[in-house]
Amino acid sequence: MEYIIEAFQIEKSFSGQKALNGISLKVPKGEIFGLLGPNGAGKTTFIRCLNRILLPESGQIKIDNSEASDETRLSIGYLPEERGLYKKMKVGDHLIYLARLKGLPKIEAENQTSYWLNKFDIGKWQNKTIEELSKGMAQKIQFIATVIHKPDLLILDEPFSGFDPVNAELIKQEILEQQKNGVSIILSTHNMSSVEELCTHIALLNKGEIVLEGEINDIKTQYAKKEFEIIFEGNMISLTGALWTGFEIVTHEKLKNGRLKVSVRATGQNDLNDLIKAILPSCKIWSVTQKTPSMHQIFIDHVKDVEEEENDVENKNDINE
Amino acid sequence: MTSMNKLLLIIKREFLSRIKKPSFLLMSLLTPFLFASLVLTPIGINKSNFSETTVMVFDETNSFGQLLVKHNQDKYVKYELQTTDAVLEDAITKYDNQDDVVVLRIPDNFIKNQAPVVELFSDNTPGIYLLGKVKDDLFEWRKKFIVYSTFKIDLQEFEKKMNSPVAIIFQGKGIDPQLKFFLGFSISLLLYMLIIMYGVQVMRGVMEEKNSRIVEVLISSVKPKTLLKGKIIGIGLVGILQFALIIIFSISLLALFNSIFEVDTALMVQNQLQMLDNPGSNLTEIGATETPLFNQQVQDYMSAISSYLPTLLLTTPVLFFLGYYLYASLFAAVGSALDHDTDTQQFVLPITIPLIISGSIAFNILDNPNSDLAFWASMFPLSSPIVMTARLAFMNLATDWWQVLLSVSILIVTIMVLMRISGRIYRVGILMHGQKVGYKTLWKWFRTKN
Repeated sequence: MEYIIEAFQIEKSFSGQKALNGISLKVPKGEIFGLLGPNGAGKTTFIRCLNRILLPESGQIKIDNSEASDETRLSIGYLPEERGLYKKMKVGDHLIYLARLKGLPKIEAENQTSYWLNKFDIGKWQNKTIEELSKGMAQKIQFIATVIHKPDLLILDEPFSGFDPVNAELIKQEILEQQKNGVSIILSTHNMSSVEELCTHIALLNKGEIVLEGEINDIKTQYAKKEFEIIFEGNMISLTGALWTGFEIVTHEKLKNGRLKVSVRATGQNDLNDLIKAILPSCKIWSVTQKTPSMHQIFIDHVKDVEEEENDVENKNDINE
Repeated sequence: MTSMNKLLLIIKREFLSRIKKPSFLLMSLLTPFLFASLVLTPIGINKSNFSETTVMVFDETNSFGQLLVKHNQDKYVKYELQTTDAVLEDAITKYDNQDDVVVLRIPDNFIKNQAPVVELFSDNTPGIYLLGKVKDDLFEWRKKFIVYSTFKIDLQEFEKKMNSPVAIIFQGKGIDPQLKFFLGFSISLLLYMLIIMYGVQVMRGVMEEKNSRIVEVLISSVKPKTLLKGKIIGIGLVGILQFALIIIFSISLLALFNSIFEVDTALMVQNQLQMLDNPGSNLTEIGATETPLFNQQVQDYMSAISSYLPTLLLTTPVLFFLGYYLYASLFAAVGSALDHDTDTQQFVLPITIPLIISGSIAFNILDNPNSDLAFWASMFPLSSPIVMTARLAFMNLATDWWQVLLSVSILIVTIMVLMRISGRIYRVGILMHGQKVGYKTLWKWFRTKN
């Protein structure tokens, strides 16, 4: 697999506090990669290191197989979470200026500006100043400024924040189109539904460390709690008997059509096949589904788990002291 | 794209975005008028401030008072000799409630007494100027009276000989000291004004980028130090252009004023400065051609100014730019640290104090531009741009070039050091929001590794 970003043992601290504590991460080329984590986890610091806004104290960052440098950052399009524009500058001039700072020749910058403004249907605003634009329009300009120089890598920090649903959808489609064109994308967000919808890979940061990383489907399978939902016709007592070894019933209810719905949790190593084998002789199965946790749930559970573990360690230390 | 190209791009944006504003041209056009009003307003105020006071003179010597009244030429103090049958007490009662009349009694032993004393009666406390004037007149005319009565000479003839003004026609190298004074004063004042104005513009520009949050996008494309350098140079070039425009407009205005009204503007400034030292003194009439010195000057000023122009246009912009650069680097660090305009005061004041001090040194050394203070103040980097500009008009560049070169070199080294310090604060500060910033925080930022 080819990687757009390969980071090894990145460390960065502020006033003695470790913001990034030996982060190693690989972002596959051409994918949408979700960078998740609670506030203060180190996401923005990591992104700033990729952009060379900050320089790591130790570790190595490779962007598209080249050592990160002032040159490599020209191939990055960066949309920060806190973003703004020069209020008094004209829309067209502003986009051309930012594109040229990213290394685009003047004519190319002008052409791209016209192309994108027309694509987003705001061509007639080219000669208006930024302060004359609505908030939504200004956000579109910010997005255009991120992609105008045709970067190989897009780093989008909370790209949907502040957008109305129509514009959020527009940006979402645009992100997908960029990916289709071969652009790699890092999406840093708290919006878990967009992560599930867009990302193929994720990394979860907490307190400057990566606590979870991988393909989203693998993670979901890994964190599936082996809970199943069975809808059947038959007798509850005989089902309970069939599940006696290897499973436990969590909830059960009678549906309006007379069928029964039961939530079951596997104990031990039993899986879906074992479950079907066990209940098949005792009832008529209508459906069996394995419950998969949402990214939202995995995020919350994982961050909570890490905090609990830390609290335990702290408590133990307190006792030892 | 090289770092240099990016720098040029930033400089261009900073420069164009400012000179395109209508306020830029307006400011350039209005400043000469502003300067003119700075010179003319105090004269106007002075003129309206001093009301005429009448001094009723009761002369018991029966001779001295006549002399005093006859030769008085003051605009604001008039002497009125009372007849011998007038009663002092009546006059005191009569003018009791009149602010513009005082009563003066000159006793009969005034001339003979070794320690002469007079009495002044007034219901109100008379102004310092009136007291000084009466005292000076009495002293002066008593002296003359004694000479006159001892040698019995013709007083008219004596006065004529004594009061002829002395004219100095300057024959040294360079332009006339009077004009130099005027040029040194006005150009260093302009420099002082522009350094503060454009320094503050840098601070505001940095704050704008920080608070609008555009800065993070910018520094993902360029290094913070390139961004900062571009901003300072871009705004500095606007300053140089404005400086040049103000000089050109001022000279045009001066020429226009001179030719239309036949008024000697430099003399007006001279009068203005004289008045600061001695308010109410008899000013040389503007437009008067009484003295050969001023008469000659009026004709020579324009050519003298044009002979000074090459020095002015070559050296002063350099001094302005370097002085501005030095202070702008400090203003930029302050701008990067703060979120709100209202917080700027505690940091801006310490930066402007050296500027104000150098302005005051510049003004004071104009009387003695080659003193030790003048030399060292024109070498010390925080004061050198303004003080050196004030001295420049008095220097002979053919021999004193090394002073300018040394001063400029010290400035450049200081700027390099300050830019390193400010740059370190700037790169951290621009990304910090919502923090309460004190000097301790700035020190911490300075020590932070990137």
